[in-house]
Amino acid sequence: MGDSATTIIAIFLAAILMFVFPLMTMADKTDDTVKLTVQTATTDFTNKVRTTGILSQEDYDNFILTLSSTNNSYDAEIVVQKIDENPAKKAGGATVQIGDNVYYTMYTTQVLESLPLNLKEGDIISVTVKNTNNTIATQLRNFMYKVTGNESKAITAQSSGIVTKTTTKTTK
Amino acid sequence: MKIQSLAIIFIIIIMPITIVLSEYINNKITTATTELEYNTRLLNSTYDSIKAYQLNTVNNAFGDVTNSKISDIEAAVTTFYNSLANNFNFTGYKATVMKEYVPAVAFTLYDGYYIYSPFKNTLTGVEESKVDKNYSKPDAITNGLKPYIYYSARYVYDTSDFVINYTLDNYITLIGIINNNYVYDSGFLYSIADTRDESNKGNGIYYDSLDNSYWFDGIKFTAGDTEELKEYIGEKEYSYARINGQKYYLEENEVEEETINYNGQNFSINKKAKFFFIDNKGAKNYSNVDAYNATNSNFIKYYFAIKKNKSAYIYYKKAYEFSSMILGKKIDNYYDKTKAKQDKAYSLNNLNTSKAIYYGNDESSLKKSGITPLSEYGDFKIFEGNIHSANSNFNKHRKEIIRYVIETNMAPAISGFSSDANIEFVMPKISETDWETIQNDICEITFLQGLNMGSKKYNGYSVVANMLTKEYVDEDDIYILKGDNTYCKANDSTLNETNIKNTKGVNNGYYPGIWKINFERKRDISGDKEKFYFPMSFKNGEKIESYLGSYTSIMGSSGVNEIGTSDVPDMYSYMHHNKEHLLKEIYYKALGRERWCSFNINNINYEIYGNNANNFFLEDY
Repeated sequence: MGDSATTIIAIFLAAILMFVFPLMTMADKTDDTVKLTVQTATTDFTNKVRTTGILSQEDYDNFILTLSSTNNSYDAEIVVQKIDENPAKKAGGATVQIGDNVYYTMYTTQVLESLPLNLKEGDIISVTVKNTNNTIATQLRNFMYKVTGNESKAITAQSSGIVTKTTTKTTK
Repeated sequence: MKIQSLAIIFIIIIMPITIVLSEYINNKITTATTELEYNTRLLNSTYDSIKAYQLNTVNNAFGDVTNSKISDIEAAVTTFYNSLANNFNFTGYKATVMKEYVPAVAFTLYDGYYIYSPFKNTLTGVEESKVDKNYSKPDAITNGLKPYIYYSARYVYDTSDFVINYTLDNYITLIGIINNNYVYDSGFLYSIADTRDESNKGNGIYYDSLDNSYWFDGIKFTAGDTEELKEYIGEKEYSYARINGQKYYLEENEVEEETINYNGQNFSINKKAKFFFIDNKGAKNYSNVDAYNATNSNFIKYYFAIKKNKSAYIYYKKAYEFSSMILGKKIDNYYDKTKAKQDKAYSLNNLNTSKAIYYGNDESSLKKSGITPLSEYGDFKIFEGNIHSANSNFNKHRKEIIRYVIETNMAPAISGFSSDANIEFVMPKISETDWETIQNDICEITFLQGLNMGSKKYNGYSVVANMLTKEYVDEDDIYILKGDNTYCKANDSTLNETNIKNTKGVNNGYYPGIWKINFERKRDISGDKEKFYFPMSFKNGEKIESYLGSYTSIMGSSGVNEIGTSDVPDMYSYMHHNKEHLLKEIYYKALGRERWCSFNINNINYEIYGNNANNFFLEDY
């Protein structure tokens, strides 16, 4: 009896070690690779907007396409902070200090409604991407560790910076 | 063997493989992530550097002069190294450490570019004690600017052998022998229209000999249509004119009028007027123009240049004459920039791209070095079609030359670099989007190579455009004043006849198209305390207020009409399709005025006019 109990435990352990553990590792690695793809897409997208001063429909579509090619669904949040130099100008010439400028913010829906969006030097763009589905790695982890709730997203990427170019043109 | 043993053996085999593989992937991922981070850091540092350059140049009264430009660029490069050192957390080290990793920094300007990179200083024959060792170490590797490289191409055929220098817009310089005749000439290039109808269709400048006027896209330019520009310095408004890139202001504290005969007409002038410009300290400098006396023609020229500014007219006139000569239509009594009379038109209308000597260079060896050969773009007539249009043959060829000149000079500058940090430097591939920026804007290109990223070494670059430049007047750089005391872009959709500010009035004031640099804050350090002011201001009761940027196109962008589509490729076509005749008139007159009075880039005037190159600009007054 004792022997068969050991066998059952051994089979159970063997199953975990031989199947679940490699599967988890591989799934984790896949997530890491996907994370890299997402981070690359996000950084490239942000840097392009920063150096061209234009957030075009085409660039946005390409960005979303790259994200979806990873077979996950994502929530891509784009926040644009537009610099407004008028308050500094209103303060009158004599006493203007650096830091008098204010920013007003456009969030994802506003940004997407106004594509192609012309930006100017000094604006700030910030892009955050989170996955909305459960990846295999998350599912396995949840199953194994019984971690409940899915707030801990496996794939996230963030990139932001100051726009360096003002432009009125989509192409020249 | 028991099944348990098999399982253990299986685990013993699989475990290390999994661990090693995952480590390997981890490593790859870290490398790739580091590369992304480095790209962003490099971009940030380049932007810091451009920002430093802007701050220095906007308040630099002599920013156009080469010596001053060089020191501004060197300051910008220093900022770049410092920022790089900060961004890469090498703060403990000097910025010079980063130099080991930067094979080159390129500053592209209006008509050429500088490369900042290490070179061997071959200065010899100078006593060592007499050399400023901080700056020049004979026989040592020094970091510095290499000689300026123009965007130029040489064309050789039949009895012609000449060079054309291109710029970021339609200004070109022609040097060399055309049909056995030596020519040194420069100017803005437009298509020439034979009839007014053609010109009204946007196909070039038309000259109407009946009243000596020029027409462009339905707008008439005459010598009698003059402007008097005004702006604030501190709390006082002055009339001014930009001459050779420098603003000269008219000070009329005392008034004593005198009537003089000028070009056959009687004019009343103020004998007590004085002229000044703002020097680097923000102080008024009166040294350039002497006080009025009966023989001081200089005084009268400056006076009329300010009171009766006809720069817009001269711009289109000169552009018409120069373009006619290029396109084979002879102008009577035409003098080139060396003041030599040209009896024959230059007739380059049939000039083909294949006549450029670069065209024949070996394609395969160029491609191997990562250079796009000229022949790849095809053989076509350079000056055919609508020259000023963004899609014209001229612009296509101009961009090819800019790219070719940069690629052929950058590649060896980078591969010739060696430092303790890295042995082999290779020029990275610059993306098409970045080439667009380089071909259309003044920018800084930085390269960073050799930093360790784990499994490989970093090799990246960054291109940042300088949006606040006094170097030249881009077609987008003309802003329009509105009646509500705001300013907006020329392609703002809210602009119409009724809301444009009426500053021109009847024979008074100026067209409300303003160069965007004029809206920038200026610094006055002439007094005890540093003060700031906005030149473009207006009086609201007793208070002086600055014009504000409109929320439809300057601070925001909700009201910007798109430019760069296939229907509207550029500002010219935007204006052509625009129904607001007044806007078109204001825009073209402002564009002409601002371009004509810019600093003459080729300095040829200094050779002819001595130290006072302003005379070239004052000739027509």
